[in-house]
This record gives sequence, structure tokens and C-alpha cells, in this order.
Amino acid sequence: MSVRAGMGTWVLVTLWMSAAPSLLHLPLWVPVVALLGTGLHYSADLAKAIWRKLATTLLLLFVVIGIWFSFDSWFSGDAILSFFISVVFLKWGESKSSRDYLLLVFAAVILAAVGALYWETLLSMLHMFAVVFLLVCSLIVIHQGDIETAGVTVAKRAAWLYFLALPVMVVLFLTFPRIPGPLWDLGVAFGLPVKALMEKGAGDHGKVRTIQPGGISRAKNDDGNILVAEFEGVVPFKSRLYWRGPVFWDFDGENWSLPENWDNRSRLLRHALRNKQKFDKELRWGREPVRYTLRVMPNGGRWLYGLEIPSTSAPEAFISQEYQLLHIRHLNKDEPKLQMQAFLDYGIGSSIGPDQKEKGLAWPEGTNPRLLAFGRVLEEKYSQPQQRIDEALKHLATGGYQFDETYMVEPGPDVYDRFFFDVRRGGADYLAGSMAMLMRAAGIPSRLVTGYRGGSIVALTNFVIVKQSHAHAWLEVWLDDKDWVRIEPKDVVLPPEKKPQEKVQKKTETPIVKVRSEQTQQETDKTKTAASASKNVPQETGWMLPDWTSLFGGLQKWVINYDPDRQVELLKGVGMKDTDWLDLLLWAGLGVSGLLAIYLLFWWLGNRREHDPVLAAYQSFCDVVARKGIARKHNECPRDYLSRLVAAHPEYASAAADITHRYISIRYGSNNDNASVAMLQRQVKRFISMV
Amino acid sequence: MFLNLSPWIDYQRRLRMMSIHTRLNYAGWGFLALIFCGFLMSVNFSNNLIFAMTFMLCGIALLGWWQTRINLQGLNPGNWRHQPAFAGQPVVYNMRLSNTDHRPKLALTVVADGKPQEGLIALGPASEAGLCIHRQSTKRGELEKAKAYLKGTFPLGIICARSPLPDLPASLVYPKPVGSRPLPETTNDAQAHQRNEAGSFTDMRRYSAGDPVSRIAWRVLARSDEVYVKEFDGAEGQPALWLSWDAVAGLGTEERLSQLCRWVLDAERQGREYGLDIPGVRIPPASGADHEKDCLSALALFGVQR
Repeated sequence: MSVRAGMGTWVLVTLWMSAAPSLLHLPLWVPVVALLGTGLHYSADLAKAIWRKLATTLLLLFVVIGIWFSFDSWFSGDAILSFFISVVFLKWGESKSSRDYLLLVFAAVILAAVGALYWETLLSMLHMFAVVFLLVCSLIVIHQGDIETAGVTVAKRAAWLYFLALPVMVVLFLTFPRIPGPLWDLGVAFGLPVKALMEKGAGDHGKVRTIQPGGISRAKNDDGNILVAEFEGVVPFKSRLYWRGPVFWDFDGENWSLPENWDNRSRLLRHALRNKQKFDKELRWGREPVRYTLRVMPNGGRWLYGLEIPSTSAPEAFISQEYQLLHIRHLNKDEPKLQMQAFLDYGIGSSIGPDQKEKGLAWPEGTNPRLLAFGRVLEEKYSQPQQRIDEALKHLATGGYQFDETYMVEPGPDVYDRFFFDVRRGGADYLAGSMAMLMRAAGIPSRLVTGYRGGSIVALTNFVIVKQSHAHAWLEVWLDDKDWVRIEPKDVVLPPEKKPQEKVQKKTETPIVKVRSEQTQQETDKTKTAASASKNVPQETGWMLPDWTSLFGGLQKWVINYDPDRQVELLKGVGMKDTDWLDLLLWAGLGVSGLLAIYLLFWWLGNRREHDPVLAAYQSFCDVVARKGIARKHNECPRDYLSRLVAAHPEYASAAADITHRYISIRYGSNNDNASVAMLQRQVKRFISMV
Repeated sequence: MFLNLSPWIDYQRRLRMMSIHTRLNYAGWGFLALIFCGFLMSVNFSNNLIFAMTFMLCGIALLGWWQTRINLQGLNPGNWRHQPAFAGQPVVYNMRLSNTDHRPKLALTVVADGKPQEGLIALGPASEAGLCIHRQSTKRGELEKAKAYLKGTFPLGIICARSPLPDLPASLVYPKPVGSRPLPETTNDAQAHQRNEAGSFTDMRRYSAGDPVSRIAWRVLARSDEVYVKEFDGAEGQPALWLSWDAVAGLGTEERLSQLCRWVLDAERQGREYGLDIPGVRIPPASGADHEKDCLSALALFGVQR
């Protein structure tokens, strides 16, 4: 096998390795093209160049036809991936030079990265590392020149580099500041007009008047941006950000809807809390004020989605009777920018009129009978409304409910009955809607609030982007002593995979306090896990057999699910209280340079050991004599040096002569055994102490 | 001077000799672009696997940089040796390069005068290799001294490390020996006394540098370990020639020099004594390798400002 063929083999293995997972799920013609491309490379001796060119062109044509038939769109992810793989293998078919090979292995890495987008599992992690290892092997083979080297030697060389690079990777992975994606959010946050980025039709969500159970989950599939908020100071916990939108009172058994005349501007303004006096009457108390700048994307309605609870108004905006922040015009084109203030913790509502109370208790005739019955039972059993709420939440927490945004309950009559008693699985608005109806059945006036919860923090700044995918629904109940109180059933029901039993127990407190206590709980949990994780490390390196499940669990947690939050949590574990991206960058730099320093140290120590002990001993002898004023010249042989020394310092004559003769006999004679080397060293030591 | 700076200057010079400079080459920029691509992808999709891959590539690049440096460390260059050449021929430089390290050094290239030489050099642990550089000479005169360095991109090929070699020394380039005129038979009356011609043995004396090897008394050497050369009384040869500027009248300067060069070589080959007489230089008749070299040098440097 020639050197170049050996090089090619490594490159080919790298290519196939990187493409393998993608090939598994792409149409069958893609691996066929890849195989043919591979064969083309080895046909150089069989066919003329022109035929091979022709074959390449035909295959390319075949690829285009394949994409046309296999995929809906030219630019769908799979179509692009198929094209990319085909082109890479066809390029392999005609590649000859090292530069071609270099290009191909680089392409292979990109290919592996694209493959990782499809499935993010531990297996694909192993695949990724294998590809990178093969990349290193290929690079070494390409650049080691015309030396024929066994595959094992190449792999060994690559392994050295690879395993030294692993700790660097770990340090960077853990400490490099993470910018939450996607990247175009950055542009949006810093004032890029979002209209340009939004798809057509996405700007109509503000016109929605009715909402069907499950509607919010459907809306979540949309990736449109809703608003950008720039907070002054630290961004509050994302789970505490409720962006208030439409408030629904009317449920007809299948849909929630806003009243017909809801959008009437004069009606809205008449009831609005336009001046401070009016507002202060409503707001009984407010804590934790946050100030932020709000930029709302056109949505076709009046919605400004102010943070709960808005405490100031702004020009051209007002706070409605239902505490929403609304704009005086429909937002069709403009993106209003407002300075806002809100209280995250509040008590609001002064009174509830009899008509409102009636609306808040209304139950459409003959619908959802089981829910109604359950509510009645609660009402009879517990006298205090708060107790009924707690009991209902307890039911949600312990009743085996699963929060699953994507799950749809079949629409139709009695959908809440089916959700609440049979399916027990669904998104936020099933939970909130059925809970709202349950409260009504239990004699507590309630309403469904929709909007958004949370948001994504942009790249270590205090910008928060709220997207359609943050759509959420919750409910508010009227308690005579506490007024309107938000109830968040979602926090009681946890996603199926992480559902620690202890957390469920705690949901019997009052809802408002609940949110806070839960957060502190989560925090402590997090720090605990971080601390225990760091504690576990020395145990794992012991002689125990590794517990594979916990190892994989750990990998899952620390690799696949690693995110900015966990990063901060990790640094907290090492004693860093608050960290920003500059600290992280510093840590990353320190970590990497520390590692390199350690490597250098080992390398240096390794080099030192290489020194000849005989030379070292003689050199130290020479150094000592040099301090007496007689330095050995570069061209001076030991014997000449000795005679010069004896002439100047006759008192050292015998000792110096002994050392010199030993040195000469070891270096140039046959007297080269360990004993004589040790003797020389001893003599030199004696000489040094003598001088 | 109160301060003896020479050790410091010496140290600096040694450092400069040992210093290894690294920079990214084209493949390196490609690799960097790859890392950047990976980074963008990982940020955009918040994909930890691609993050891991990107950081792995970073680590590999860093260590590759270090390994590339190591691959050039511990190399101990000797001195360049070279022979003057005739115009149009390459000047050949030779050097012994020794590897004092216990690691092999792979895929090194010598770059002389800005041109990378063909072929890659590989040195085993604690071994030596001969470097050979051909520098093409185009015209007679002096081939200027030039920088030379070792370049290596092993193992990853993304970083190019270079370590300086001693400068290629200046070399004489003799005129191209062309011309069809016969040797001019202009003598200066004196018969040449060809001292080196073997005649009758006269004496034996100690060897001194420059004596022809053919005169070494090998038997004496074998007996006594001392090197003696035999001396002869020489022979009466053909008359000495004067190779003069006027003898090549009618040609351009370079052609004249080329013709004279041809004559010098011919005369030397015929074993005749010859003198050179060109404007500014007059070399009395003699023969032998040194004399030939003197004459050729004079021709090479004719009109050249040194």
C-alpha cells in the first residue's frame, strides 16, 4: 500500500464515520451515491479521467433528481444534508492531493456536527468524539510526510494529542460563557426590526378572540417573537415573569371567548385605570418593583403584554380594568417602545360587582358534569375557599397528572372532564382551564388569563425575548379577603421524567407564597446537587466498580443537559456567588493556561530526566571549579582543563585528578557501569563539599 | 567598560538561534474557521454536543501548536559547507543536522532564501541527517548570503513552526566556462618550473596543510604514525602561459571572462603553469588547485564591488 493510499484510507474512514448516523435516516439513494463516490476514487487505474468526470456529473444529476423526489422543499434540512453528503463523497471520488483530503476531513467534522443536531444522545456524543479522533489521525497522516507508518503508530500519536486535549475541552465546556441561542435573538434584542424576521401571519395572534382548550399548545409551535424587554438590573427568575394578555370569563363548554364588544375603545377607556388614584385603589400592596423597557412586536390587537402587575402607564397606553397593559391603537405596523414598571409580588382588586361575580361563577348548562360534581364535593367538604384551592391543587399534584405541552386531548364536548379525570395529561391551558372551571364549581369566582410566561435571556445581557413558544395560561380566583389571586397549576404538575415526591407534598401552602418558596427550594436543591456532584468525584476515582447507570445519568446531566443555569450553579458550588460572563471567561482562560502549565511542567521534568548523570556530575564539578576562577573553555578537553586547574590550585590536584580520570574512563573508556557512575557522583559530591 | 556584556549578548544570540516561531498556515485558518463554524452552530442550536466538539477542536489546536513546537526543539544545526560553482550551475550547501532529543522529528522542510526545498526530512531519536541545499546561480560574481530556516507543520499541519538555521554563507560564482578559442601561446620567456611534477626524489618533510594528498608518504605514516610528504625536484614543463585580457580582445566583458575561465580550466587540466592578467588583477604564473581557485575568483569578482 502506498503512502498516499494509506492517507486516503484514513480520510475515507473519517468520512464514513461522520456520515454514518445521517445516512441511517436519509433516503436509500444517499448511501448508494456515497458508495459509488467511494468506488470512483479507486477507479483511477481502470477508467480514463473523462469517463470518471462524466460519472461524477451523472451522479450529481442523480442527486438532484433524488432530492426532487424525496423531499418537499429544496431547502429542508434533510435535503441540504443529503446534498452535502453526496457532494462530499463525490469530491472524495475525484480527490488526489493532500489539500483535497484536508478539505474532506474538515467537511467530515461539519457533517458530524450536523448529525448531532438530529439526535442529542450519549451515543451521538461517542460518535462525535470518534469523528474528532479520526480527524486527528487523518491530519497526522496527511502531514507526516512520505513516511509509511503503521496504523497503530498513527493512532497512538493521535491518542496522545487527543487525551491531552480532553481536559482542555472539559474546562472550556464547563466554564466558557454560554450564549443562549438562537443567534438572531441577539439582533432582535439590540433593535433589529423584528418584522423583517417574522413570517407572514405571525403578527395576527393579537386578533384572537376565542381560545379552544389546547389552543395554546398549538400556538407554541410557532417561533414568532412577541416582545423584547430590557430589564434595569438583574433579570428576575424567568418563572416569575407573567406577561398578561387576554383575560377570559366566558366559557361555552368548548371555547373560551372575549365579549363581543370587548375591543370597543371607548368602553375600554371608560373602565381603564387611567389615573394614579384609581389604580392605587385597586392595588392594595405591591412588592419587588422591576423596571424595564418593553418593545412589543405588531400583533394586530391592542396587547402590550405588560408584566404582572403593571404599576405605571405610558403614553398611548393604559391599564385596563383587568390589569392588562393595552395600547390605544391596534398594533398593526409599529413596534411601540415603553418604559414600564411592574410589581412581581402584589395584591390587587378592590371589589367585585354582582355581575362580575355571576360571570365568574357561570357554568354552561350540561357540560363537564364530572368536574362540576367534583367541585360541589369540594365546596361541601371545606368551608374556607383557600382550603378548597389547596385541596384541588393537592389533587392535581398527587393525581398522577402529567404536564405535556405537546399532548392534545381530542376536542369536543366535555373536554375538561376527559382531561381532568381520564387523560390527565396535557399543556398549560388544559390545566388552567379545567382548574378555573373546578373553582367555579366549588363556588369561587375565577377567570382564565392567557399570555406568556418566562422568556429567553439573550446572551448574558438583561434582555429577555418572549416568543410564541412561551405562550401560557393560568387562572385567577377571587378570594374575598385576598382579592384576585393567581393560581399556577403548572408548577404543581411536573413534567413526567423529573417528579421528586417531596416537591409534591409542599403544594398545600397559599399560592402566592408557593411560588416563592418553590424557587428557594429549587435553588437549594440545585446547590445541593452541585455540592454532592463535586463531592462524588473522589469516590468515583476509587477502586470501586463504576456504577454505569449513575455514570450515564451524570453524563446526561453534565453533558447533554448542561446549560447556562447549570454553569452558574457549578461555579456557585466552587464558591463563586455571582458570576457574569467576564468571570466565566476569566475562569476559562485560567483553566486552560493552568492545564498547559501542568503539561509543560511534566514535559520539562521528562526532559530533565533524560540528562546523562555522568555529564551532569562532571558539569557540577566544572561549575564549582569555575567559581574558583578557572572556567572550562568550550574547546578544552578534560585533561587540559585538569592541568590548568592543578597549575592554579595544586591543593585540589589529587581530588580533581581522580574525578577527571574517572570521568574520562567512563566516557571514553570501557568502564561504563553503574557502580563507577555512582562512584564518580560520590567523588564529585565530596569534592564540592571540600571546596 | 564596567559591565561585561558579552555573556549576555552571547546568550541572546543563542536564544535567537534556538527561538521557534509559530504561526497559522492556510490549513490552520481553515481549522479556525471550522472551530468558528462549530461555535456558531452550537450557540445557535444550543447544542451541547457541538459545544463539546468545538471545545475539543480548540484543545486539539492548542496542543497541536505545542506539539508542532516540540517537533522543532532539540535540533542542533552544524555549519554550512559549500563549493563555489560556475554560473548556471547550482551552488550546493551541505550541513549535518543532529537531533539531540529523544523524540523523533518528522516532516521538516528546509527553506533557503525563501524557497522551500523539495523533500521532507525525518530524524530519528538522537540521530543525524545531512541537509543538502541547491541554490541556483544565474550569473557570475558573488551569490549573496541568505537566510535559511527549518519549517515543520507536523503533527496537525495547521500550525507552521520555524526555527532558524545558520545563514547560508555567500559563495563565489565563477564565470561560465565557454569559448572556443585555443589557449594563447604567449609566454613570459620563463620556462615553467613545475614544482609538483614528480621527478627525482629530493627530500622528506612534515606534512603541512595544503600539501597534495598524493605526496603523503604512506609507508612512513604506517611505520611511525607521523605524516610526511615527499618532495621532488619537479620537472621542466612547457612554458608558462599568460592568460591576458588582451588575448580575448574582440569579445564583450562577460564573454571575455568566460573564455578566460575556460582557458584557466584547460591550462590547469593540461598541467601547465599560467598567469592571469586582467585589468586590476595580475596573478603571476603558477599551477595547482589553489592557484586555479585564485584565478577563478579573480575572474568571478572582476568588476564586482565587494
